[in-house]
Amino acid sequence: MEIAKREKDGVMVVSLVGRLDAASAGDTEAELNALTGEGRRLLIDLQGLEYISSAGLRVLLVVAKQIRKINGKMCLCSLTETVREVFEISGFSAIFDIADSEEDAFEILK
Amino acid sequence: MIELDADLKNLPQFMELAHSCAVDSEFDNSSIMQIELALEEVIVNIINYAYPEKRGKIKLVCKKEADAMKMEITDYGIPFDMISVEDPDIDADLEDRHVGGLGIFFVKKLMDDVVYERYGDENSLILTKCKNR
Repeated sequence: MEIAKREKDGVMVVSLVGRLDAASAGDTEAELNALTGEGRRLLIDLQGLEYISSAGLRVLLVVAKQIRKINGKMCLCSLTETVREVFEISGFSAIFDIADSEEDAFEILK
Repeated sequence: MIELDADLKNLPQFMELAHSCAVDSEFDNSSIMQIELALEEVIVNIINYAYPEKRGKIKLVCKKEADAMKMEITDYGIPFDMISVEDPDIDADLEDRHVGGLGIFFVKKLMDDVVYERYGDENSLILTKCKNR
């Protein structure tokens, strides 16, 4: 899985491209955790994410909890249909801020 | 049919077999993803828990049937009936949410039939996904 990072208007935008499964979860978690500094605003762009399993959801959960701990804010955006389905079934769509687009996400992260 | 070490590095091969069979069985994209997801959860559980003391293998057989696809996953590790594991609380909020049990929950939710049998020292799990459901 590929991870691209850029900073925009004080928000760290991380794009995950490919598959977030048990094989890629460990490295992804490490890389995302390294970004959680005090007051951090984090946008995870999932436009390029084709697949996510429970291992992947776990990574997002861990990062979300960490962000909360350091009084930061986190939002996900641009979920594909199949990934959204996984979020719905697991109940994760209720515990994350999920925006349809990057623009909407920036509104949430203000 | 493939039989490989219960090691994370072999996960892609198991997934590939399930993917090919699902495509062959002419499932739609959403179903193909569900099939892959369910299989990953089972394989990863076996890798993590079935062989606490020693190394072991996982056997995967994927069968295309008239109106369904079946995956039979066999391991030779400690007895583990995943069907009896409790569902996680999917209504819990961020603070109280854990991921434990989620994989198994996915398998039960996404597959149309899940059967566990133990034969001697083999755990056998048969997952069925029906078409047009």
